Amino acid sequence: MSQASLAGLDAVGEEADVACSHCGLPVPRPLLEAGASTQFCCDGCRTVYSVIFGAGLERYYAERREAGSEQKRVRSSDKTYAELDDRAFLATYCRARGSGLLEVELYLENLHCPACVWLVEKLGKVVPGVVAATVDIGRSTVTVAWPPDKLQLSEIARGLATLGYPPHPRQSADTAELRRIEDRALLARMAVAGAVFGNVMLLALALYAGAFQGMDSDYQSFFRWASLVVVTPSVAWSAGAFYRGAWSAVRTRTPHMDLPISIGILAGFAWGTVNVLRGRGEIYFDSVAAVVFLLLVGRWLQRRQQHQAKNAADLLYSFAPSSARLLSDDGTAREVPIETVVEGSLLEVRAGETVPADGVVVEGSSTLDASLLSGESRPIEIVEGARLHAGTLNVAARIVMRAEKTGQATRVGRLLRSVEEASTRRAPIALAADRAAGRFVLGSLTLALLTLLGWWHFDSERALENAIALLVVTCPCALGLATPLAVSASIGKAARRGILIKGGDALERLATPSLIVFDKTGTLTEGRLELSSWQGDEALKPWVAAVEARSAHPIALAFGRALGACDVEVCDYVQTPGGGVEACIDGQRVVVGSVAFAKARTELPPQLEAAAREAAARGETPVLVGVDGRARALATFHDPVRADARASLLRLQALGHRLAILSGDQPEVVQAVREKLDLTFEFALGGSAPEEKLAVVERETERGPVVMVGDGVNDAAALARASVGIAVHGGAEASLAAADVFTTRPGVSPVLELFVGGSRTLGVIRRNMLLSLAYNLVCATLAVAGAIAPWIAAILMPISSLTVVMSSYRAKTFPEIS
Amino acid sequence: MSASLLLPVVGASLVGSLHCAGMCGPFAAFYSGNDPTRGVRRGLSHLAYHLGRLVTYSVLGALAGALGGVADLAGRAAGLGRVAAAAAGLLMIFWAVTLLLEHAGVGRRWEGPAGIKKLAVKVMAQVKQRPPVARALIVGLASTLLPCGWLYAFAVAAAGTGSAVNGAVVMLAFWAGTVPLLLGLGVGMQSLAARLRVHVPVLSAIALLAIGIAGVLGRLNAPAISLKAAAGMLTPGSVVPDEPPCHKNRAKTP
Repeated sequence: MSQASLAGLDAVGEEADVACSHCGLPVPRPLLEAGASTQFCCDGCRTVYSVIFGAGLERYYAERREAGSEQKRVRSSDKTYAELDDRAFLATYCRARGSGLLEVELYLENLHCPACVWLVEKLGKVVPGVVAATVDIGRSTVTVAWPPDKLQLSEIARGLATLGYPPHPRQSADTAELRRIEDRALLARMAVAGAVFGNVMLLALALYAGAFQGMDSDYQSFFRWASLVVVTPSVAWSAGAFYRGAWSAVRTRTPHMDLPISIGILAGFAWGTVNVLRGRGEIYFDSVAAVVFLLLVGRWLQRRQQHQAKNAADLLYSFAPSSARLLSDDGTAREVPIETVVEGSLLEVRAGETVPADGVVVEGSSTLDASLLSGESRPIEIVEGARLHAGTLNVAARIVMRAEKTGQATRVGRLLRSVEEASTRRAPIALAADRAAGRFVLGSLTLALLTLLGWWHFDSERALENAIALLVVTCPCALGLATPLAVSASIGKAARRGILIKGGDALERLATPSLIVFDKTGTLTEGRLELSSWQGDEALKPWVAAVEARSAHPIALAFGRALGACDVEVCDYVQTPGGGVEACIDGQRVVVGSVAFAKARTELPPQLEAAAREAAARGETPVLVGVDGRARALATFHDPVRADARASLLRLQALGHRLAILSGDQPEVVQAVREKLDLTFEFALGGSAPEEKLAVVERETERGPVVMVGDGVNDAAALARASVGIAVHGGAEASLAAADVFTTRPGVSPVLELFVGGSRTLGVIRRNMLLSLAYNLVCATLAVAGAIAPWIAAILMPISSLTVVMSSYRAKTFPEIS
Repeated sequence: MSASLLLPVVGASLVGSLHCAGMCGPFAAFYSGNDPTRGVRRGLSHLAYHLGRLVTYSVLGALAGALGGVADLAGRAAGLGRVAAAAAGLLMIFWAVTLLLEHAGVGRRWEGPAGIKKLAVKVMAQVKQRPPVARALIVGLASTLLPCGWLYAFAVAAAGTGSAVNGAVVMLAFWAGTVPLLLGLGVGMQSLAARLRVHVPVLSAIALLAIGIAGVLGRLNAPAISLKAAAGMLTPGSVVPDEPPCHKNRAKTP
């Protein structure tokens, strides 16, 4: 019918009537849609048409004898998440987890409190077959593990959506946008709630004034009805944010904080409505509006804080610069934020600066300190065409590079992502808090009921108000937030001090007194050779300096550090690997090298030989200096103990820890270090190969907690086996694979900072929980006693959460320790 | 409720129900289709559908009337007298004029909020599996979800009455006008001559105009004393009599 009538449209100026595809009445000309296959006379017809098609009921049009029309199936507006089952998606975003399971990380909307975490982790109840669901509330993501042959990812997604947390695949670009959309939705609700709140309070003011001075029943009636009408959008829409959580809680039988709040709001609204209809009795719309608005504000603040908490970007800025110097075509450089750098940009990196992005050198040559990533402190030569990584240090000269990856796509960015992901491992104290918070909600509901019943006898009007105030004021969120916030704040602060911690449980374990096993080289000692003594002819020093200046051998470098430079001319320079160097200065033959090297070329006086043997027995390295065939001086080298080592170790002992040394270096050296430190050690073993270190750690863990401090690569096995493994060098990637903590600064002081930080964090957690308990006890008592009005309760509740948040972030868990 | 209001409402509703039959007719086909039973069972589905519509229209009318009553209270407090009727009347006149202009070729398209459509689709999808009588009832109850301007115009008229009870009665009258043609669906649209069909939009608009003018002129809410007594609970505030009581008293004083 419609197609035939449409012919009328083509003829210009013709008055042919187009009939509505649905009801058959003529479509007014202004409503005609040019080029559309269906025309409608009104929006109602359009809606019914799409309803009928949308529900797949098109066959019922047969009753209207519509011949030959295309059965166009309107897509149902419900999201089916079918795109998640696409093979390409599964291949890109899902990881295999072993025993045939797949794992995927999804960004969830509406995650706002620990109770939401419990809800989502009960996903297995809503979608049978899900093996595990772990939530990271800081990043609003859930990691779901499921058997792909038994269950489809789209089913899981639909399950999450019905719980009230629509999922999205986790791509870093999208999550920022999604977060903005969520924030805007919350802000819209807040705006409506705020407008309603203001207006209802004005009306309430009028009513209160009327209650004192008398008011015409007409006016009173009007104000009461007006209050009801005005508060309805707030209760029906703005408070929907709470009803969703409450409904999911009821469906999965998990206690959720939104449940008492929703009950309070709805009870207040319902009773107030009844009283308006009755024409007498108290109305509570001012309290209800206040509660909705203030709680939404509290939730908004909470979201902001949580998302400002440690995240990968935050960690990254501890290691890579937040800005870069962009070179424009004419050669001028200007500073830009790192986020604006795109692939292919030319960046200038001056000497002494940290490389801002992964890329390739296009101009200049320099040396690079890549110790952050490789653990190799020896500088690497870089020339045009060499690859650079963000976070490494450009040592020697200015270079220009072409950026390829920035931010979280860089090697160090990916590394820090894995740190962040691992940080969702929950400390035992957090798990206990979760359980406690669950019982808390039930307790609060019961107490509210008792309050209601108890007060009903005395003063039934106030009974409801007191019950609502109680429901609103008791808040387990502080309890649930205490640990994750404190842990995440600490991890962020530690990162800024160069200490990467891979999980909240590690932090908690550090607070227990344990046996700390130290690797020697690089941790207790400087990790490089230093001139410790010089016996013999002092006048030879400048000549030795001149000869050694040409070599890059560690001993030569140590000579250089100790003796300085010398301008004496050197000729006939020969270096023998593993032996020494010889050269000709002023016509005289100078030889500097090991005892064996010197013996072969010079004559060794007995006292020098004895001194050399003594030095070796002490664990030092003897180097002989000979001129014209006769050994004239002896220089000894050692790896000096760090200046701060003793003080830090003393403080660790004061904290209750026991100390031990486990080293691969010679036993004599280890003994010398032990004596130098002059502290009580449980044991100090040298000459240990990695397997032996592992055996020692295993043995000791049976006796108590063991913290192992060592090289991330060489001691990997022992580090992994210990209760807490702290890697102090060896490159970030390798270390974090085995250890729980990686420090970028060498020495014992970061280790001390770590321990102090751990026990302080535990202190913060306990403080948070105490604060929360105290708050709840005091305020609940006040509410039961009828001293708090619901709107005051609504202010107090977010204050308690904010106090916990503040306490976590302001705590000085990782300050600079002098 | 005086007859001066109800009759025009029924009349207008009858006239406009030609469109109602066209728009909501397929629903009747939907709920009664696929139903192998005939006769009484079929009749039951029809009954359920119309009862569902009656309930939902009455509720809508009561809500609208209550809102109008609140407006009246505000108006009285501001010294304006009964504003609901006047406002409703003006709205309907405006609407009627828009319809006429559209018919004459002047105007723009207007689409309702997408949320309503999604909700309607969802409801219909849920209902498919249920038995015919339940289906009919639910479809009837969900009729107010459809963005039908005609229905809302009468809801506005109900608001103009200024009381929940009167509002519900108005909507009952509206419903009464829609039943005949919807019931006799076989007769419905198809058999009407094309000429008649063309006039329906104009006739509906004129009917709306008439009711609108009646409202503005104050004929919309002639209060019935007996109803007031019975509906004291639902009527917001008290109904102010036409003359302030003090005048009567003054007349009585010697």
